Amino acid sequence: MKKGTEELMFVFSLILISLVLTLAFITFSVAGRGKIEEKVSAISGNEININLLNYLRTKDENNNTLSEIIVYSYYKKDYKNAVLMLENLIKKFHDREKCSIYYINAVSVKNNEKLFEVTSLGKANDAPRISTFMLIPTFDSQDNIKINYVEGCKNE
Amino acid sequence: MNKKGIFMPTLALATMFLLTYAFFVFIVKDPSLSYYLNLGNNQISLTTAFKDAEAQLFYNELAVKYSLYRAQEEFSNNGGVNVICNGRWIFNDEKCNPDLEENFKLILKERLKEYNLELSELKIEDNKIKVKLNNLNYYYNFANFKYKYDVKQEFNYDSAVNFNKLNKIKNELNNCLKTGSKINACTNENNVKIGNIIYFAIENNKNILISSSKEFKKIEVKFNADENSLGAVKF
Repeated sequence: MKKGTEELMFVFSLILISLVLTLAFITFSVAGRGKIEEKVSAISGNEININLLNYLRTKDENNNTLSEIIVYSYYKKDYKNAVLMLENLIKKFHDREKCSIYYINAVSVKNNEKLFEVTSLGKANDAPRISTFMLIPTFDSQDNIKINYVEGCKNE
Repeated sequence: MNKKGIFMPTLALATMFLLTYAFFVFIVKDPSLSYYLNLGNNQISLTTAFKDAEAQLFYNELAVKYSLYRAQEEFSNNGGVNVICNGRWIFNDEKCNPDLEENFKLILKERLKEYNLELSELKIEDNKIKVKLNNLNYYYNFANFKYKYDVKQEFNYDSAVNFNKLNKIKNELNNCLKTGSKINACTNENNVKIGNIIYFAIENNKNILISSSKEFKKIEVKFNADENSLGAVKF
């Protein structure tokens, strides 16, 4: 092989290696980028169960808490007073601007029977829902009342 | 090395580098693994522990309340002594001795057990009942963040049983036994005497929810004593 051809081959070889390396880097970078995800985000908490607890702990004029009224209503099969008190509390303390959607219901754990519900009026929206529940004991330790609470709140 | 000679080592090095890189990307660093870093995990764990504790405390507080209702009802129905005594107070007797606080404690312990709660301490003072359960404990130990959260479980309630009055009558009857006096000479408490048996009914001015009728009512502790055998018969 002539000297001129050898040098030409050498240059071509270097170009070829550079091309292969560049191609490999691009391939791996693209392939990796699709599969390896790095994400840093902050978790946000919610106060929904503290709100529910506060509702259930609120006392009426006879010094009975809402939870006790619910238990008493459960035995009497008349939830009028419990619902009325809950609606009044929501009217006074619930942030309707931020959380226009709310839904509270009470279920007997033993019978899986729905006892009552209090819910927001109006159309459902796309606000993300957060939920919690609280158990209220009764005289029968096996027969708890479960209070489910769902809120739909706008993200801030 | 001439210019042609450099070609093979460069190719070998490049191939090795490529293979190593490929091995790292596809084998060592799992391509399916996503890397997430959430800020606030520790803080959320802390507030979650607080919320869990509050929910548990709320449940236990009510469970204690309903256990107390039932215990007071049962205690009253038994006349402050063991159910087998039919409300008869017999001093220094193994089963019918009116050891009021202890008898009440035994009943309450049983009622609490139904809710999987264990009584740690019971104090009855001035018609107020103080119930203490074991503390609730929450732990978190992660990297450079750890906490231990202990929640005291102490509950105070007004007693529907008039322990003050019952203890006063108990002391008066006990003195009667020691002095050998007639019961009516020892106590001013209202009673009904039928034959040798003297009946008492002690009420406290406090309504509680009765488990059987599910009505709010005052409860009465009804007990009796035999004037001729106030104490246990000794053989």
